[in-house]
Amino acid sequence: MGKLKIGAMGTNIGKIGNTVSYPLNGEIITRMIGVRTGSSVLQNEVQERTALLNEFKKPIDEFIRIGLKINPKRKKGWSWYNDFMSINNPQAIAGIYPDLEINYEKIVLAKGNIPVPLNSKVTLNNSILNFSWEADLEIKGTDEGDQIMCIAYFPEILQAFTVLSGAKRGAEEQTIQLPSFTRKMVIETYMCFISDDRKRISNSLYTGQLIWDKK
Amino acid sequence: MGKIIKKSALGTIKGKVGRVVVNKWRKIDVVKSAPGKRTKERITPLPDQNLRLPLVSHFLSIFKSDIRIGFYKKDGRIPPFQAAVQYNLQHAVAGESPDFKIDYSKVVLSKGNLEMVWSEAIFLDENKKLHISWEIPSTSKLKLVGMDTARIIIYDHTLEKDLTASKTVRQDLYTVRDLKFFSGHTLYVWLFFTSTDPAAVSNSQYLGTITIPK
Repeated sequence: MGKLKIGAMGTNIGKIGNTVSYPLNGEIITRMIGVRTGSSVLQNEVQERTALLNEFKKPIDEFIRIGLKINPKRKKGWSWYNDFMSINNPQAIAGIYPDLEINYEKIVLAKGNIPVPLNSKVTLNNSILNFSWEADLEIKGTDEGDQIMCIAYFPEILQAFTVLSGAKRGAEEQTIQLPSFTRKMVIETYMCFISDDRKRISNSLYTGQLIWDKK
Repeated sequence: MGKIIKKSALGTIKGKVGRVVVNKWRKIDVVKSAPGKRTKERITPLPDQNLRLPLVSHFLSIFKSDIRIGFYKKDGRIPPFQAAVQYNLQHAVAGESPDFKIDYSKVVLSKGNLEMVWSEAIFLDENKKLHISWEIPSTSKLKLVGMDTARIIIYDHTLEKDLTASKTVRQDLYTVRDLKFFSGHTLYVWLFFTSTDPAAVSNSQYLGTITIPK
């Protein structure tokens, strides 16, 4: 495999003859096109895991982009997408191939230095999701200007409600009004803090599964 | 395969002339060599694929104008209609061979990343007017999604026809369609949103079925 910082083919990306060039970890790589002779079970498993996570992240792209872009420990040249896949694959996947599924409890959507929300809780009351936490302004690293970011994720229909700039830390409460669903719904919830200048963020926190049922 | 750039003195030819076939392919006049004679024997009874494919492609051809928007992809590797057939062949066919049927609740007429239809509902009043409503969740930005076009697709099962409803925008949350001329017919309704361009589309949603009383 030949490797040049600017790439053997200049800044070209794609297929030229029997070589292919593409960016990998911040460099442009040029290599020969391989010949595929089928794939092993392990390779299929990796593909399945990537497909599952890609499908999961689609409705919450904006949230993850903010959550992992300011990760202080991200490797050089990595995008937020690389970081998301590196963290969650395979730790957030449960089951044995071919029965793989996402373990919503272990999904990480944001990483940073701000302490995570203390005693966080989500309740569902008359189609209103209520996220609550403790302000705890004495702890080092916290600030009054911190804002909450939260997600209500619907795994069955692969859709989500996201709040990117919610209530201030001192308010200790953020609500999301749900539309009037016509059938039973499973809701997975996450939250994290972001600083006022958008330069620091807390780790994301899984706040549990709720079930909306018509009463 | 040859292209015809200049029209002949006889105008446009279509069909088989000697050993070549003149035809239209994606608005281009093309010439192909005629296919050879079939060497394999026909399989009887017909394989499942020969029953399923015409069923789906005939049904979807009714909604061609909607599918052109709903399944349009910028890279264009697969044309929109073929993409729609590919998806619905896998997901929207019910029943056992040879009695395949369309599962209307699973038919998808558009696929995309735009905000989907939430809390959709339909009902028919005494004057045979169909009321269609939906909601906008509090987290979505009205400024961004409010002017999205709502494309309502009503399929008349009796006439095998698409009764496209008048277009509305997402922030209206409501639309009415008069159906007094279709008494006794069975209708199936779908809805999806497109941006104003319409470059972005949402997934289509099946709203339900209604039989209009006589």
